[in-house]
Amino acid sequence: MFTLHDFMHLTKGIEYLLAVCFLAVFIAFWRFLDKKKRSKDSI
Amino acid sequence: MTEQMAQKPTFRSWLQEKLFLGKTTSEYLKGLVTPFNIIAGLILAVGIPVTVIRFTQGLASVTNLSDTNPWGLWIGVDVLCGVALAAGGFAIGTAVYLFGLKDYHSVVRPAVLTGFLGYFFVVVGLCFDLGRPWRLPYPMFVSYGVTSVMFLVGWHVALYLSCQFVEFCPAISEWLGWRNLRKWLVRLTVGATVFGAILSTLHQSALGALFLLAPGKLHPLWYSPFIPVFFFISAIVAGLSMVIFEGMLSHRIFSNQIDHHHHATFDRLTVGLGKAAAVGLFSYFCLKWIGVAHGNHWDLLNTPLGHWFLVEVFIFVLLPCFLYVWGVQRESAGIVRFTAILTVIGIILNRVNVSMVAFNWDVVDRYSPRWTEFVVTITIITVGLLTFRWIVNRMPVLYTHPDYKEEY
Repeated sequence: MFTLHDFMHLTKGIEYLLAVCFLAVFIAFWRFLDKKKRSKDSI
Repeated sequence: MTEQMAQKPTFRSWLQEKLFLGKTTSEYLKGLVTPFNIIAGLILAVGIPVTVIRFTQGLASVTNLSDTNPWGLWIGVDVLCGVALAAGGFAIGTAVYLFGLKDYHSVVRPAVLTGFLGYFFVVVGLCFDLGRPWRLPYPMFVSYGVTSVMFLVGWHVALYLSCQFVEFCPAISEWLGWRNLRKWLVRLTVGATVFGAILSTLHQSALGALFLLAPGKLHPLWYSPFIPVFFFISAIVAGLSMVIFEGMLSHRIFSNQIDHHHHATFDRLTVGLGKAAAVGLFSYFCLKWIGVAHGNHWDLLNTPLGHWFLVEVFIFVLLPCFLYVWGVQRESAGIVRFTAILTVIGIILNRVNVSMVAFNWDVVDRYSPRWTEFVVTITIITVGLLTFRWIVNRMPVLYTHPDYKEEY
């Protein structure tokens, strides 16, 4: 990394990737958390 | 006529019933001799002289605070932890009155009382730190500081205390038998809840925003432009966990006040609160890593404070998250209660880390609290517990007043 632009490019890139992963994993987390209730409701 | 006069309660009998729980003065005083009260008495016996010394001799006589370290245990624990752990009031109030989760109605009053007393004793702790307690109304009426985050915190705490008091007033009016006043106060509940939620969102995050002013002083792993968001989300988690913890203790200590229905539904409510806390913890965990990525501080993770950061995040955020999920999956209130204790410890650890451990982390003149600072903190917590117990023993907090059962 040589310039501020390089720094921002790298950090913002990782940040946005983490944020997108969070959004995707949150859906999976919620479905996992709610699993027992959904299986009870479907019976 | 004689019969009517005999039935009309005198002021003395009313006082005896309301304040002394229907006992005579000697019976009441005998009943005060319990192990908890003896320990509380010993704590106050040390705490009150230390308080007198603080206010007569100054901060240097009882603290290790200095110009380099102006904030210590009283700000870190009494203010930051106190405000975070008192967030249950707005969290449960919002859930019940705004989101319509009526099932949780039985925990609203204990949560609001915990919130009110929590904020009240935060102000008491702040008075110890600031000194000159008669100047407490100054930010409200005399000297504004609209560019200061602390000005916002001061206003918000004052307004939020008022909100919580309004939300708790129906319980006080039921205790005193003031039906008409209670009718008006109940109508204010939703408005007070909305106002309280707005205030809480701002001041919970504002306590984190205080540290935005000191980027060079707070360790980079804890400092982030997102620290207000971290504080807000962790406060919600802390509040929910405190409601679980306080409910667990209340159901054991005050079990005679709670009717069978509330006892039977309590475990289900506990698991529900644990579910919400799990979501909060998961979001908080992910946001912490986004904060690390924002500053590109990955290299600092392999330092002593970096290891401590990992302990805080993995043992006291991610682990409780998974324990809550496990408890919810198994519908086990016991697992959820244990996890609530772990979460409360984790939030206290986070606030202590931000305000003391990771603050001024690279200066030579590091701060460590003096024993008298611990005495003051423990005294404030003890007085808070005694006040909570006094109120719960007299007012309809853990049970529905028999005159108003049809409303719930």
